[in-house]
Amino acid sequence: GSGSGSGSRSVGPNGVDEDAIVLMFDNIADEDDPYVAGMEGISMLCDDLGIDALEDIRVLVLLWKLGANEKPAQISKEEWKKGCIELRVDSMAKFKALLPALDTGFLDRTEFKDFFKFCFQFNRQGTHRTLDKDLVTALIPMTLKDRVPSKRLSTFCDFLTESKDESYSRITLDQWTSFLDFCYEVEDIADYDEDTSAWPVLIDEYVEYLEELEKK
Amino acid sequence: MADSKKRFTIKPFRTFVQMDKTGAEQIWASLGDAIDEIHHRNASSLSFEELYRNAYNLVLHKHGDLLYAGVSDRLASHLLEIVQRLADVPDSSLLEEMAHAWSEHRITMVMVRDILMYMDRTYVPQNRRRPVYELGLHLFRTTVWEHPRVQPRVTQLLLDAIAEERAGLLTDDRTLLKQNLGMLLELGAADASNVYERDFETLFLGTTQEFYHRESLDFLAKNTAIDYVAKAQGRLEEEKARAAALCLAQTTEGPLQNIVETELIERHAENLVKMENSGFAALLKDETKVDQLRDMYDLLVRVPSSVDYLRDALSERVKIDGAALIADQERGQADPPAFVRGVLKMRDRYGNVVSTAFRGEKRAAKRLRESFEDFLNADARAASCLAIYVDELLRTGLKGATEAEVTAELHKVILVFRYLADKDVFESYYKQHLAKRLLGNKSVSDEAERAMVSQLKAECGYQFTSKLEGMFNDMRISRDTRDAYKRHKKTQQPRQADGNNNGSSKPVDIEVDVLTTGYWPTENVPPCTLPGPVNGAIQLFSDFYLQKHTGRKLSWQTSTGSAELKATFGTAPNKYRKHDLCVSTYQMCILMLFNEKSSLTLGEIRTATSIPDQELRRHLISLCTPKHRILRKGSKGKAITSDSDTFTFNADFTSKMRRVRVPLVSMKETSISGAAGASGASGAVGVGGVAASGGDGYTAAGGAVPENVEEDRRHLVEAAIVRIMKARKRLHHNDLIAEVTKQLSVRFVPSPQFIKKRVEGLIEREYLERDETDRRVYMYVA
Repeated sequence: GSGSGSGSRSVGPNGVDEDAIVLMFDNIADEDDPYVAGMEGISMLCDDLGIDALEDIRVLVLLWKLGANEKPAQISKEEWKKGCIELRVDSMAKFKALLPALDTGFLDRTEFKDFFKFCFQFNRQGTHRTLDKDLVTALIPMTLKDRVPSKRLSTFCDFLTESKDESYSRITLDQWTSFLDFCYEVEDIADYDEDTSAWPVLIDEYVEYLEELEKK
Repeated sequence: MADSKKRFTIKPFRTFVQMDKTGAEQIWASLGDAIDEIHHRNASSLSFEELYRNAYNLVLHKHGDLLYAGVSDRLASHLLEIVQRLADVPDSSLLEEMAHAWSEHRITMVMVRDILMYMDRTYVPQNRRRPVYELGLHLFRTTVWEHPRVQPRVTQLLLDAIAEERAGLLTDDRTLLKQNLGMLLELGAADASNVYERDFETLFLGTTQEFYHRESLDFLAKNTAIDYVAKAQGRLEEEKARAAALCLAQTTEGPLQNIVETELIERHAENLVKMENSGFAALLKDETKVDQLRDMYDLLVRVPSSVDYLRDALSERVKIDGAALIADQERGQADPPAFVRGVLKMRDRYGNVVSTAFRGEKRAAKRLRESFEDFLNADARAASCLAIYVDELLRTGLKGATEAEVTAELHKVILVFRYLADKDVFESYYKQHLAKRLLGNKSVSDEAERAMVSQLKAECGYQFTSKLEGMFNDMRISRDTRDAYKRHKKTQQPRQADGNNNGSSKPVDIEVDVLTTGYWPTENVPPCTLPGPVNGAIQLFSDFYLQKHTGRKLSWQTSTGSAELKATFGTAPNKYRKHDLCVSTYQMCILMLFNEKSSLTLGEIRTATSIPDQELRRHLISLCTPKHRILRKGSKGKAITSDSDTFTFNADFTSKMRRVRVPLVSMKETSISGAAGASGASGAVGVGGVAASGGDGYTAAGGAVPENVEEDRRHLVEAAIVRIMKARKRLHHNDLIAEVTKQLSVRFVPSPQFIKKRVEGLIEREYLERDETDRRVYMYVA
């Protein structure tokens, strides 16, 4: 946005009020760092919007659309500004109006893949590159609801929970994104070919788990 | 004649007379009679020239049709005579009569043909008629042969004769058969009819099949497989000989052989292999029956697909014997060297089967190799057993052997080594054993050791053996260092040992082996707490050594090495018994504690010595065994129960020998037999050797792969993946797996799963990424 003199509002190219945007950010910014809004601030935003910060997937969709990519669990001031301008939201009212559009049903496959990846990245802790298994089993049903058959979701989470394999106590990005690809590509596990597949070993073992279940 | 200035012209023969029909018929009549005479073998009265001329004239004067038709009729009527006689001839002489009639007819036809040669050359081709000779044969076929009372009987007689031969009855005269069959062939050739096939061959092949079908079933039901083989071979040769003797058509030989082979061999191949007691599979169990196996092979190889059963049987046998060897080893009834000897014996035995019974067939050799690889690589136990076998050879087995014997024995090791998939496991165990032999000075001979290394080098390349050679080098250099140290000590003034005064004023003698860390199997066991005099000696040596090699660091491997302690037992002054105890380093540390206190708990000992718990228990127990009860254990039973278990110096210990060697109890978990770290190198007191004892990631129970090898494998696979991807930039999953497997197969065979896990790790660490459009393609991240 361009600099303004006293009293005049600066209106950017999209016709949005950039000062208002900045003001909204300042309300939610961290105490120690005015350029960053962490989960506390984001929760406040959610409260204002009337959505549940922990359970409502639209939070993640919003943050994704705003472009909160730099670091997990936060959005930077620059990202906020850029995102709000693009989305043309400069007030709480406009945010509220935006909420219905945040339904993941509106996303096509490619967009959703990107969003799904974001969900992983955003939920990491600090400099960790992986997600804790328990978080994964919570996120999977939440993010993939209505896009993947619920049976698939529940068996996968059961499989993860029951697994005693040490290496699965943390899930990598590759395993995360592969799971979605797997759900898209392999609807019937009879089609699954372990020998030539380049699916992660986690998926191979999940399929074995499903095959065991089918036998019973 | 006119004067010859004019051209000569040939004038037509003036006496040329146009021949009319009547004239022609007259001439024909005389020819016809002549044919009759020829037929009745009264030809001597005839003039060939006259007859020829007559025939010639007829044709010349355009009466070919008349002549041809006449000949045809006359021949036909003669043949009718013949066949009417033949039809009534009894069976017993029919073949002979038939052959005779045929023979006579041919003679007739030759003469007739000769007379009518002009017609054959002119009229016949111009009018597209059958040539005279062929005409004669054609008529013979249609008139004589195909008579309802002739053909069926002759055919049957022929088949019966053959059947009788097969039944073992001698036929009177194969010549008759040959003549009759030859007749059919000629008849068929003459008018392009398939009379031989229709009236003989088809039926002959049919009866042959029925005969052998039945005979083989009957025979097999009542006889052994090997008897069957002899009989079958006999029959095959018999049929071949008969076909030749009867001059059967070439085209019959193939189908005939096929039928006999199918009925005798192909149908029963499986049975011949599986028959109880006498089948191929059963005979394989008996080492003396190789020749019989070969006979069976020689029979079955005529139908190549049948040999599959033989190869299957061989493979199955190897599998069974192999499983028995493994079971014995598992149960503990056979020790690892016995296992290897068993494998070598099997190899010799079944190798002989392949080269003798299978006549060296390549497919059988390949199958044998695969069968060995299968049972030997079910797990990694073969690798560890082989290493122990080699250890035994190089400790004692090759004692007194000549160079040739050494080479031969070690070569056998390589033969088994070739079968192994887990060659790296072998290498790891071999290295550990080698380390112990070198440090304990247990090698039967230096030449034998080096011979083994050079065989491994020839087999696997220098990368496999460069570290081993480093180990030899270290030992040589160590010896030199020791000599230098001895000389150095002489020049030093005697000094007090530093450190704790344990009441001994003389520093302890030590002999040190200095090893380069990279070459030897390493253990990251921190040194235990050594007694003062020992520390002092170590210090002296370190000073000496590091002065010569500044910048180096010495880490003392107290988990190995041995010591000699002077011990005093007994109570009263005159009842003291002195013994020299040969013990391990750890045991030395333990025993020295008892100079201060006569009784200590496990916990106290551990604290004082810092020996790792499992080893501590082992070395302690070894001092409490019934034969070497130097310490008395407080609690009952063999095992140490808790930290508060007490150990007391046993002053009542006795031994017949002045020098007492205290052996180490073995740890059952290790698959390295013999006491790890067993010392007792007489005279040598050493600190500073390296060897792996159990429970450290270097050994594994049963057939598991030791942890150190697993770790190496992970590194090797990752390095291979990175190397390949860096070169190729983009590669499909399957191709990557194949390439990695190929590159590593000299050392071990990674499973696709194993490779895949490493790939995932590299994706996570951003060395690789998946292609956006095709997740089965990996890309190198620069």
